Amino acid sequence: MAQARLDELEGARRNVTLADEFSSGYRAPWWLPGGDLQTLYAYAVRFNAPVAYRRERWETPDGDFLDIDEVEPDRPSTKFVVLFHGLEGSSQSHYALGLMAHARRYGWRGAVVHFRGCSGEANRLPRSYHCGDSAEIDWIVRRLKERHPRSDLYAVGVSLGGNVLLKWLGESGEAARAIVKRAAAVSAPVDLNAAARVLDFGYRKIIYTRAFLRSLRKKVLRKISNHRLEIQIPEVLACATFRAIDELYTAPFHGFASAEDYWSRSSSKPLLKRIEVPTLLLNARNDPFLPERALPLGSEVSDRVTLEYPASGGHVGFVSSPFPGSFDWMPRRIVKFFSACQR
Amino acid sequence: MANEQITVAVRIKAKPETRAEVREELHKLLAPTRKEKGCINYDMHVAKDDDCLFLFYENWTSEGDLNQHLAAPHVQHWINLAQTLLAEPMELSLWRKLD
Repeated sequence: MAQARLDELEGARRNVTLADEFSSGYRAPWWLPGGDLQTLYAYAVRFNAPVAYRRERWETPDGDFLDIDEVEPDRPSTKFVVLFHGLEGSSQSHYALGLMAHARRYGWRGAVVHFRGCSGEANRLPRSYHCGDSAEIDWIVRRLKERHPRSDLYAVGVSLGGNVLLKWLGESGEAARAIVKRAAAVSAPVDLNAAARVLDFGYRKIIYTRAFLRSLRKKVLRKISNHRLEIQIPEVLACATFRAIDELYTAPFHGFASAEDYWSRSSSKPLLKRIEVPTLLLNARNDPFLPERALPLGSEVSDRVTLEYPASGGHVGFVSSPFPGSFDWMPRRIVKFFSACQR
Repeated sequence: MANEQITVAVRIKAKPETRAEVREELHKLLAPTRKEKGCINYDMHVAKDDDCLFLFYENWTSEGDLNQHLAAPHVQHWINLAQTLLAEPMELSLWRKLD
């Protein structure tokens, strides 16, 4: 009991520190209270007009492909922002439309990279994409830099994409500076064990995980039929948690021993001290996907990392007033961070 | 301006397999919303040629009353469900009555 009380006090002290030191200009509309509603409203309502993308297919060295949706591909701009989306996201996700529309208004070029199997077409290999696939990011950003050697490349990762981007930045250290000028990670689950623990239980499992799992199960079933994987269909249908599907498919097909091994080795948090590229880490303290106690403190990141933890915003739910709300704040904040760093 | 009457149009597209559930859930919003302060009308429609497509036409005496409506528990319950039941995000637009 005494230990529990100490933990509680430590948690309270930590939360005060997070609120004081890493505050933000973001405030959720009063009519959108709570992290869940902020998250769900952002996904349920259309905020942006369609963005005109031009799709390009990149053949990968392992015989697969990636679909890249570009905005303003012919614009002679020296600023290029690349976005890595979240779990089961795409160039049509609300944050992708918001960021790309904003980049376009600023005269920048932009691209949303679809992780394997997320562009609307199944990828060719048994493998898919995952939270720790920094090798994929490495290949993509190097190729983008080769294609646009005179452009300043800015990288943004949202949710899963944010964790993978941070992992790449940490692993690459100084070498990343030659490729990416600045970076931003939004609502990144930097501690995947902590994220899976909250998403696999209680109401969050019903609200969020069930929707993700419905989509992921379909993809695994398609993999079984396309590639004759040795996975039993009833086992897939029974997957109701991230632990179950990661144990059954994600971990074994992407080189991990177990779900726990996958989460531990894919979490970016232990690598944040090694980041050399100026990076904005934006996480709402009421994000239902990552408990506040799992957010990194200043002592857990390098001095290149700017931590910004608004009290509200949910998981990628940074909607602004007035009703019916806009999704401009997050893109503005990111572009401001990228622009401010240039001085 | 804040005390001016305000009109809201909401376009809601269900998936073919969820249209009955969407219709039922939307219908549950009508009675409690019509009792809310400032609600002039709150009308639910379905497209003549598409039973997955719904339209809400609402009039409120002020923006403040509309905002209170959004914070009501039945609306929040619907937003919780919308993500999994809808084929695409809802389209909300605000209008000002001219005549």
